[in-house]
Amino acid sequence: MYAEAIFAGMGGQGSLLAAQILAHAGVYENRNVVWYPAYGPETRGGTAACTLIISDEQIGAPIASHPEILVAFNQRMLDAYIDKVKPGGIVIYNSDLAAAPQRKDVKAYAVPANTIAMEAGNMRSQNMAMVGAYTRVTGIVDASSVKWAMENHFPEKAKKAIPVNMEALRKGYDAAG
Amino acid sequence: MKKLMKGNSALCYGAIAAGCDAFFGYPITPQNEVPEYMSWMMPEKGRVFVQAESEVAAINMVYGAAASGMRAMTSSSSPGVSLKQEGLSYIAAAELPAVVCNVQRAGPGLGGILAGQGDYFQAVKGGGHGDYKLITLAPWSVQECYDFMALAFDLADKYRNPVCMLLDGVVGQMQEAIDLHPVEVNRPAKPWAADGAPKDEKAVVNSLWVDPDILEDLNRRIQAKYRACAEKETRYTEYCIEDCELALVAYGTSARVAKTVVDNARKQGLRIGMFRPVTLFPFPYARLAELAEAGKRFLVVEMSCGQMAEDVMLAACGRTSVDFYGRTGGFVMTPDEVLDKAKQVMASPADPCQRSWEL
Repeated sequence: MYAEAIFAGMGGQGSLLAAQILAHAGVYENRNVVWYPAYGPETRGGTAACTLIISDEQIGAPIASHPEILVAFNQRMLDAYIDKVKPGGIVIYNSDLAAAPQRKDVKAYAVPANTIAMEAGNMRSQNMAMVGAYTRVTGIVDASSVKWAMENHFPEKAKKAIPVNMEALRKGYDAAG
Repeated sequence: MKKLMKGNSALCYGAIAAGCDAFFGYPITPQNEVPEYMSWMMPEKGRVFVQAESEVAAINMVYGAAASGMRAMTSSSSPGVSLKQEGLSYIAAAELPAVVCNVQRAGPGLGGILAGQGDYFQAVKGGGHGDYKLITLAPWSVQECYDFMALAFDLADKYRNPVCMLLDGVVGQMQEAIDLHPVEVNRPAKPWAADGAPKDEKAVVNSLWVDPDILEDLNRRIQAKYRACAEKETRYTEYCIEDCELALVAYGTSARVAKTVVDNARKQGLRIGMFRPVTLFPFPYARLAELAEAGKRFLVVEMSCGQMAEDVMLAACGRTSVDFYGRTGGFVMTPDEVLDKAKQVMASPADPCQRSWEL
């Protein structure tokens, strides 16, 4: 198993943390994992993208150039990365902030991440809705490993928000079914 | 269980495990996690952390701490490492052990904050003034960032010479799962150290020798050390090399890309392999010469305009063709780009006098 993904959103949407939680879940399952942020001078209000590779084999190139999976948090980032996705690949997009992609050779999954986050009780949990969808759609890591990662590797200052985020995770998982 | 962390953080865990006594540094992207982590990790262990007022101050603090027998280090990124060159020359001349980490960014000048490999010459050919070298280790994974720190301190002590950990921004910034295993540390006695202990002979640390006889002796002694180091410490890894027609030669992030290129090429039936120098100084000239003799061609892949490629040409010494593919500006070459170039090279006649260097 070898799966390259790009997680892309605007600064503040939590796309980097989303991929990082999944990276921890991969480590928990004893997989090889690479998480690499497209770091640059821009931060808040700018774009925030990263590569997440989870593999059973040794990982070579640490940057996804043609990923099998794109997790796009808004229209701008969906537009920026959609053409890079491999034919037959998976596109998970936040349908509250982006329209369905035009490409017919990819499998697209709509996740109303903002709506889910509001229902769960905190707008900022939209990234965990996307994590839930990734978990369900790809089947790369087990949902129980993702829960473990959230419980053990959520940022210290956000620990009290874990129940809300767990709810968003569950709803995102269900939405992608 | 393994722990997920950045290459930069792994350098810190590696330094702590290696018994680093003192860290002196100054912030610069993309190595900022190193001073950040050291600022709490070192005091926690009762060791020294100083955020110096400049890179020049930091390297001279390393000079002083090393002279007193401490395991001392600094870290920076390209422009900051340029500022340290005078100090490194002094440390090498005073025959002191020290470790300097360079998480390379794109140059020249202030350049950019994205990854680059343009500091190869500076690291392996001396960098500062006078005849000296830095023993240079090039990790390609977060695990190696951890593992090589103990090796770096050991080699520094063994040869009484500064050691460079040469990373690039990708290796520093990416997170991988690593095993923080206990490391074996070989820490020799340092009778030469100016540590305040009573000694039969005064411990003098100096890099100024106005007597030409003494200075030439020093140069001979230092060069003899480098020859011994080349004999004993040259390290490299090979991947699918035995039956290959074309060997990609790369280190750090470029080697990670090259590994993927080899896997993709083999699926297409192309006999491509990879040779990865792990020590950039001493450079594995002898093994590359053997591969050249065996008729293998080389394609050097670097995030630079072709620096290590010159050492590969020295090793090939006209016996095989040496081609080059590089990206700069902060770009990392994609596996597809490199495979296209490799196919183009393999389709052209092997002529050691004709080189295609592509940027």
